[in-house]
Amino acid sequence: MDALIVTLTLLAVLGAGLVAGVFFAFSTFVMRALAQIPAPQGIAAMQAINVTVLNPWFLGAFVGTAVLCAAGVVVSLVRWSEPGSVYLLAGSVVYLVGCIVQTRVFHIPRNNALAALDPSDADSAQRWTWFVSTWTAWNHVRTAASAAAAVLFAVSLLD
Amino acid sequence: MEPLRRAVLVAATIATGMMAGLCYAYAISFLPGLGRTDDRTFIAAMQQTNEVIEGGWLFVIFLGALVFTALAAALHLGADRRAALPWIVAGFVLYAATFVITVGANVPLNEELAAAGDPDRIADLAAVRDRFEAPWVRWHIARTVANVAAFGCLSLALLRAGRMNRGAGI
Repeated sequence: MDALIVTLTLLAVLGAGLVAGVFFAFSTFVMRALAQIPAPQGIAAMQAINVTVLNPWFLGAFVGTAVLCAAGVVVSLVRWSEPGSVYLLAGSVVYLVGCIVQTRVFHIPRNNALAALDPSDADSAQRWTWFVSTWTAWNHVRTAASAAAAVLFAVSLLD
Repeated sequence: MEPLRRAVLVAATIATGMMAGLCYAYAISFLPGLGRTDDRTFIAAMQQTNEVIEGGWLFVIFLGALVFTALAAALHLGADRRAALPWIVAGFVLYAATFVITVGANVPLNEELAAAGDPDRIADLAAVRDRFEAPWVRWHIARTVANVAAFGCLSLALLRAGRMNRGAGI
């Protein structure tokens, strides 16, 4: 395994692991907590989180890992005979589909719909309940996909 | 023995990485988001989070990271496995620091916030928030840095162990 693939895979372990932990936080307790407080406060808190999360720290990890994965697909195919290539390819595809495509198709439209809600509106509470249950269910999938990608990259380093 | 040794090192790295990402989520999205909300929302969300966070999967991973890293160190004591050992030990020490900061600083602050009671019955919401927010965030950033560094060390341990597995030396 040459230095380029090793460096790429090492950074991919770090990126996918951090992203998995971020989504894990929302899956295990953040959304549950926000669902249990009064709806106007839950909506306001989630709206604020969705705005502040678009910062270089999160996007650097989330999008940066996607860039590494895109490179991972190319490099693993070009150097297929190198040890660990199959795991690098698998991890990259799992992250790109399970995290990036899913976020684009599922979470972003829902976040946009949430941003348009007025927290104090009477019918916002009902839409908030629906938002929490579907958003969280699909967030479990993002968590599992990014954790699986991190494991595959780790195994690739050891192969 | 070799598959077990590999599995334990991967488990230690990923568990530590998930905890690092979880702390990272607080530091970069949850806390800045809540920081923009009013005192009542901040206190209610923080109290409720602290209540639901205890137990379950989080606890398994929080402790699992410590246990798996210790076990990984024990499995790399052999003379032919030592190349990865310094990075595993460094990862263990840094994660232990995260653990100690959590138990020694963040948990007591959480308990104090819980003791303030229902936000609807708190007379001076701003004072309760002031006593909690700044020190909690400061300690949180300290434990996040230690945890991310621990994750980095364990990833380097994987790299060293991998090189050894391929017979490429250290």
